[in-house]
Amino acid sequence: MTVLISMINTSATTLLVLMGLAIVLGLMHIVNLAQTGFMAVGVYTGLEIGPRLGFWTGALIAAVVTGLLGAAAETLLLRRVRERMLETMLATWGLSLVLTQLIQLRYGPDSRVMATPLHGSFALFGTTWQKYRVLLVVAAVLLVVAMWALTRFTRVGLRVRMCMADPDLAEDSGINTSLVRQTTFVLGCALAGFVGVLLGPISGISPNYAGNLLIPAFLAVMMSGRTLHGLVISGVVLSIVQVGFAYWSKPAYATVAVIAVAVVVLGVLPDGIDVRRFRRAHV
Amino acid sequence: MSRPVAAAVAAMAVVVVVTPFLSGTYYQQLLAQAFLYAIVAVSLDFVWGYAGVPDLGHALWFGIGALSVGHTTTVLSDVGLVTEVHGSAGRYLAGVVIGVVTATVLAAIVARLCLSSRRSNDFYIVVVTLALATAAVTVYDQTPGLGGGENGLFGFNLPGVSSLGWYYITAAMLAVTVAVALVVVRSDFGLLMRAVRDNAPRARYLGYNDVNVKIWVFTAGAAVTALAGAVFAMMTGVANDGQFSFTLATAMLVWVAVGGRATIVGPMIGAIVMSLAGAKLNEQFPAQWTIIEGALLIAVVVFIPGGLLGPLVRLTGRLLARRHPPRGRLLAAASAGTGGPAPDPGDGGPVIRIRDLVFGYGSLRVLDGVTLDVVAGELLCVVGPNGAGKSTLTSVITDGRLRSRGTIEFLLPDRRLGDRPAPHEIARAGVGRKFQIPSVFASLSVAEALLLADRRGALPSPWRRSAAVEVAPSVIDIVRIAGLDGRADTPSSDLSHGLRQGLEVAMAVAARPRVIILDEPTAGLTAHERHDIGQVLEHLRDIGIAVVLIEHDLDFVIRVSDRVAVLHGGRVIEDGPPETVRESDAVRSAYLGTAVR
Repeated sequence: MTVLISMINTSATTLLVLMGLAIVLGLMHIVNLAQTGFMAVGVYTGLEIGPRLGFWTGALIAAVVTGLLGAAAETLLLRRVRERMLETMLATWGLSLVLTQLIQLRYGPDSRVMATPLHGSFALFGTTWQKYRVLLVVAAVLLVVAMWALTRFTRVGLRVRMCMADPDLAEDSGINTSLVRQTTFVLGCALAGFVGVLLGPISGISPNYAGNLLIPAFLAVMMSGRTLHGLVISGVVLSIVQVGFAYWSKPAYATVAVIAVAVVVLGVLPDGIDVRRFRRAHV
Repeated sequence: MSRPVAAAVAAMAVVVVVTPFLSGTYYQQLLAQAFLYAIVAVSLDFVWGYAGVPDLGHALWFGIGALSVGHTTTVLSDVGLVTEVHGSAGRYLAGVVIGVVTATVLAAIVARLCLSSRRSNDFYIVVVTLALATAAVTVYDQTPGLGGGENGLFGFNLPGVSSLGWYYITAAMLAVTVAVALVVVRSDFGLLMRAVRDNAPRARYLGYNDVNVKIWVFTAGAAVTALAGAVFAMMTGVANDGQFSFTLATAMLVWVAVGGRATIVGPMIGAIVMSLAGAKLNEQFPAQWTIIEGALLIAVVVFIPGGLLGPLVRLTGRLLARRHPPRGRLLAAASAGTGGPAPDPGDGGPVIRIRDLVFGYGSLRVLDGVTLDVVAGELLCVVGPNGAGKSTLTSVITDGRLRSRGTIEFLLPDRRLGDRPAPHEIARAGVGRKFQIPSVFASLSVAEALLLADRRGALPSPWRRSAAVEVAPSVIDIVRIAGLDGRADTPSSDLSHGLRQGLEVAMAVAARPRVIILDEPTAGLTAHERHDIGQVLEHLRDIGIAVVLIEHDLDFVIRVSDRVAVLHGGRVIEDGPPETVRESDAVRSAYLGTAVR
């Protein structure tokens, strides 16, 4: 039972982390390796603000701070290497290093603890559930549903999908694609900051604390066939693998197992996880 | 060796030999480390700069080398503390060998998995290599029995070698590495590496197995790096998780990026300078140093793509490398015809037999039962309205793995092909292809591109550098007609659209094909150039090549073709001499948009 709960919790964490990555990658073809840095900036902002103005204010301010940082990074750096995937990866990787090291310079490398805004636990199905972790699961589900509804039903979502499908045509249809791109990137970064704070109470916080979260998230994004359900399935599968290995084997092997699973899945399904492809597999 | 090169090398040698006497042991040690890092930088430049495989976890190979030496020469307690050091020469040797072999095997597996997937791209490779390096650090820390956990291994320095000794050993290793690397990148194989980096599909359709080329280079880079790591560990007597870490891996990237990708010498200088500066600064300001590295990486990648030293290195290289004449001379091959074994002039038999070919994605069927023969010595035009599946047909013929159903038989005498051959196998068997949108190798000159095309997939020598390119007379004709004569040394990236078209046709012909499939070779050409291309195609046909032309321009088609196949709705609706096809009702209604039964 504990394993199951752990799998659910880890899936929620992974989903929260990968959504920010996925919107930026899906729309802008930017692999934002600076996500770790943005999450770290977020969580330390939360550490600063939280005790004074409350946890949730801290989380919101963290989102604003990382959003602004994202806007600056997009305008000053990423715009210059637009549509060049390797260059954006290296640039965001450098940015991540700079951000985490700046934090280390200011706060030191030691691990810190963040107070949880929601104490206590409750009993259900014969086991105890920590309220805050349940909240994170709810948050992850809400985020996925919101993402789906936003892209499916709103005009904004339609514009975003147009930009994803064909940026040039979208531009010609009167959509300011550069604004859409910038907004998406900023949203992705703000989400990173917010999620950074959300995960604070359940993690030991150090400047590079998101580094290990990010690898499964990236592998999941890679595995998914650029669809929302693919993302969710990949995230959950990799989390299950990770927790399962950590529980039945050694935690050290879990990281390797996650990579192996992702690589094998992509070997078998080169187009990634996409339910629709199964349905239409027979021509 | 020419005089300036010899002088430069001699000057370098003097500097390297004299330097240790002007500095203490401390600097000798630092320099020896820097030299090993420089070897790593050169190997990463090979992998990333020349073969285009971005290895973000290159430290992994270094760490494997170091750990292997540490593990074989020490005895650990249960909690992973070093209790004893075995100093026998055999153990050190075994450590080095095991490290290099492990890294080589693992790199080959990783490369095979990462690169052979159809979905392989930079993102895939970056994420997997980065993830592997991260996982390696976790495994290392949590497995004390392997490498001492977070404490690492220490105290197993190779006895009996002074720091001066290490200085000379590492300097010699670096000299050998750089020399070998320079020879390889300037050789004909170096051309192939760049070709694969610039445009892997084009290389594939010229008969080269691009995936294997990348796998070899990646594996070789890992092996060299593991060797450097092993020597590093013997010299310092230290192995720890830092040698696997992404911090070191990033430093490696910075050395290469700052030094200038694809210059060999630049990354070497970058590694030496930056690791010396880093060693000094790192003692006092470790965090600041990493910030500087990160900022440099951003700055170089975003603002100075050539690297800080790149332009300088390139300029010096050009001044020194007079002895490497550009491969500008195009020679007409002595033998007549295509320069290769002369195809049997049109015995009328088909060379490609296509039956009931079906290809589709999802519910969409792009090709819906195509049946067609391609005959030697015949100029076949495939026409059809937009979206008829013409370009798809080209792709499905030249990549045996794509089709959903149906058969494609290649009746080519030289080589037997399997049922679903890969593109490079089909190309080697003698099926040339020109893409619809001109596809060339950006950094290769016209002559260099033709040199690769001419080899048709035969692996070029890793040390020999061809001075002149011998191609078939028909290639010379195309070069002349396309206006490429006098531009043999022009990089393909500097060519206009029309010239690229011409170059690609020339490349396809230079591969001495038995079948040549040209997807709109006349697009973007003037009427006069069209006429000339038409003549070339007729000439190819006359020497026995099966020419398949995908074309839009019906007038041109009817003028040059022997037979016309009309593709519509994924089927061949008409197949016959041009006059018949012109009169066909089915064709008329297809082009006017009426439904076809």
